Amino acid sequence: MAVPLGPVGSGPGSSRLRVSGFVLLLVFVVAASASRDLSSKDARKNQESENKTNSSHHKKLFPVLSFNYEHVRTPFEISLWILLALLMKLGFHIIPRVSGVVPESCLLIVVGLLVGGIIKAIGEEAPVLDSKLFFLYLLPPIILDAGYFLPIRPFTENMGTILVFAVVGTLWNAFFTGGMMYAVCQIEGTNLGGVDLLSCLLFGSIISAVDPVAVLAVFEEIHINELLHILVFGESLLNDAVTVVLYHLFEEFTHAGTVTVGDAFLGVVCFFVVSLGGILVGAVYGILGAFTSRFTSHTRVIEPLFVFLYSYMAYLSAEVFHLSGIMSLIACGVMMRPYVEANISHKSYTTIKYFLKMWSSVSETLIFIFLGVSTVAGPHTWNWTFVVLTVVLCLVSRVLGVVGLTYIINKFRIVKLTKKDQFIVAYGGLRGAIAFSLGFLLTNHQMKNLFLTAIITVIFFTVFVQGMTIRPLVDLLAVKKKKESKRSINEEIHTQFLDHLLTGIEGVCGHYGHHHWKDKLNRFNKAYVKRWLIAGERSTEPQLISFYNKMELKQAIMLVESGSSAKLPSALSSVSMQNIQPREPPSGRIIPKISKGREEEIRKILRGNLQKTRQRLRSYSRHDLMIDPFEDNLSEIRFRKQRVEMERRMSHYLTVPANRQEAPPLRKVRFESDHQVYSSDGAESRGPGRSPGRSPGRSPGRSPGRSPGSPDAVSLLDESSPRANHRRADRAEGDAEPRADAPDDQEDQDQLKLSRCLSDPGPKKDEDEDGSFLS
Amino acid sequence: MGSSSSALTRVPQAEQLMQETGFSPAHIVRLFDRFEFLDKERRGELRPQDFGAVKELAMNPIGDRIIGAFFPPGQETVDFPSFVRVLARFRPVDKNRSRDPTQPEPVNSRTGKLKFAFQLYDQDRDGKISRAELLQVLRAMLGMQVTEEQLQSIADRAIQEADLDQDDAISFEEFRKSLEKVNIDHKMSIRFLR
Repeated sequence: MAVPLGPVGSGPGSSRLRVSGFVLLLVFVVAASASRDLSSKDARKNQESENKTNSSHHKKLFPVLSFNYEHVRTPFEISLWILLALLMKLGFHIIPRVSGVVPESCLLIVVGLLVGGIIKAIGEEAPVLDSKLFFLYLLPPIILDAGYFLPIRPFTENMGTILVFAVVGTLWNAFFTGGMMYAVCQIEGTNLGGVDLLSCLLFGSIISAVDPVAVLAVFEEIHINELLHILVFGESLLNDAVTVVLYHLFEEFTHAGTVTVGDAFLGVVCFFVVSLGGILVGAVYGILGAFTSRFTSHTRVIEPLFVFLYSYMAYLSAEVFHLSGIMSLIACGVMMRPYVEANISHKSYTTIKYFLKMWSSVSETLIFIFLGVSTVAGPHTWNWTFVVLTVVLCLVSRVLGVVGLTYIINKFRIVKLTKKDQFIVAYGGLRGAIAFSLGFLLTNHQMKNLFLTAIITVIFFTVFVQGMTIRPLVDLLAVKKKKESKRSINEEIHTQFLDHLLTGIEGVCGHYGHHHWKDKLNRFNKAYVKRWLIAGERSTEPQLISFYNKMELKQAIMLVESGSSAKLPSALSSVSMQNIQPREPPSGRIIPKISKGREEEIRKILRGNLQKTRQRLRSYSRHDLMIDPFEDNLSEIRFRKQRVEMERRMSHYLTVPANRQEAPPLRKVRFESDHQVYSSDGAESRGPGRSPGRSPGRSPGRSPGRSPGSPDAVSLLDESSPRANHRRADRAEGDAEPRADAPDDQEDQDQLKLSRCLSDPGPKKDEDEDGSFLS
Repeated sequence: MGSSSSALTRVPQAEQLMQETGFSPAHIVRLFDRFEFLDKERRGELRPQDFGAVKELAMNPIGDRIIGAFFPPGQETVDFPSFVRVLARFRPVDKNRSRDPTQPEPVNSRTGKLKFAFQLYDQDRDGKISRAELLQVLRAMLGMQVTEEQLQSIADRAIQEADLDQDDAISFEEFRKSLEKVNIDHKMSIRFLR
């Protein structure tokens, strides 16, 4: 259905268009849910008519068009909901003013409320945020996304603080809230006497946990500095263990009725089992995943799936034993990541990144919308005292907890937490959908509705009030923001240097601190683990080199995509050339300098030939459109630019050093990840040296229709260059026959020609090319 | 550890050291114990060989540089006060230090720490990290696992990124600038020394 979302403009016409777009969407949704009714009636009618026909043996006409909605109902509805959620998300970003002020989560809840309201108004039953749906399908992608991309360094540096906040803080919240609730409930005038201590504690444990989904949704938009972000976020992840234990504990107790000291002790033991067990399960799956990725060099396409499936299995396995699924997922992601990233191709890495972001984005959107819908749908018991008390107590206990704990923690921290930091940590303790789902899971508890109402109110309060005001508060308090910057190689070098330095100094002092253990872990990792889990040569590659390679690759891709004729760091190529020159015999490795005029000429010739072929084909093809001459020129210019780029990259290839110089590793290069694009120039040197004057001998059967000027060709350069090298390696290895042409990439051919041209500028080259092109 | 005041009397120049470096008495005593542990022959001063007893330094790629940092240029031995002064740089930064412009900046401030690190790179003490010096450090850290050309490329790129005045070397200011995003206070402090 075409939603008339026009171009972004601020005129009244376009906003009216958008509003009408939304209204149409909502109507559509309503129609879909209403059609459920229709279809069921339809099914009955069909049945009746079937009976009639059976009884009368009367031949039915062949149904040209029939309506069978039941058949596709479930996937249809699911897709419709997801589509609705995403269109809403799209809509918010088009409206400029609102998205700056109100965080997306609020808007989504409002939409959920609206949709829920509409559905209820037409008398249909609204879908509720089913706990199973939430815990099994909606939550894992978000947590995996968070865990896989968790910044490890700040996380481990602040691990102590995070753990204290997560464990002690949550316990404090739960008991304080529960206890105070009970105390107030005992007061006569509130007619809440039915709420006993255990129920209060159960309620406290549900409402006390900071929610990772809500925190992510809000904190991502305010770009706060890394320390605070990791503190609040880490806490929200790690408090899952506490929540799980407390929840199950109190639920059991409310069913059992009495509590003994032994039970309490078992509860503590249970906590350790749940958290450590979860981490263990996750780590095991993580290692399995890393090990599997070692062997995927031949089947790159399914690499991302391994990551996703192993992680999901880790989550589910932990849930089987009532261990902490979230911690298991985080452990799996953290464990897997360094090894998997060393093994998989660049494309798989991008795929994993984008799929995770995509799924977590969809999940988050759906969660908030469903939260809104469930609010409208669910049965509510409103009790002013209870609800207001809950909100107040949550705030108070959070603030008290944070302040108290920080006072203790600061005695052990090197970089202390200031009052501003404490305020943000306290204010950022948002509650979210996990609390709601846990409340929903309560089975036949007589206070369930009351609890649910209170939980929803707290969630709304934290998400709306705290979520909306945190951004202006951050600006007001001038809290340090995240510095958007890329890591430079200097930072990397110096950080490693400082690590070594500090380890040494700790050794001198005789103090086994942070750095000492980190160093030991690194050595263990390098000596044993990496050898098992990383394929091939990458296992001995030091981190600095991988980092450097990644940076170079990124820069090259950026240059190619921007299509500019900007030079690659000329200092780099010229200096490395200087370095290489004295060492190596002039074996054709070094491109002789040719004059600018000559270069121009060569380019003109190439261009001319390619143009000729294109023209020729045009006259053949019957389905050809009249090509706009302007467009032709444009693509010409782009083509030329990209050719210049290719040239420069070629010169870069030839000057950046290879890992090894012998032949055998060249074979390896073919199958290795695209990272190794740079280390395969040995073959190229042989190519030009070998074949002056030899005609390429290719049949002109190639399809120059796919002009190298297309962006595909250039972005395929990554892929094609290993293949190109593969061809050249074959040639160099003594394959003297001109190959019968595979329908091969023209840029492959062109690269070769370029290198030949540049090393060997003779007029007879032209004839060769002419001959090959036009024959 | 017994009463610290009596233990403190063993330590030479304890009062002056405490004032200069800001260490507490307990720390001074602890460092003195460590000093005596390293100084097996009880000579009252340490030589480079004594540092060899520390296992971690032997395995450390820049271990020799660290040892060298303890000995001022030309001297073969280091006594306890100098030992403490070097280690004082790794004390965590005092957040609420009064910013008195007349007082010299304490040795464990961010600048002091960076200067120490810079001197470890800059062995010939000319105030700049030249390409050769950077290469030496890289070679030490990366060892046998990379080829010479890769080292050269990395060094080139590092200098290119950091070198703002185009003199093909990294001065202290450039060094400081390239590390401005790193939390040096956290990174170069040892918790023990508080």
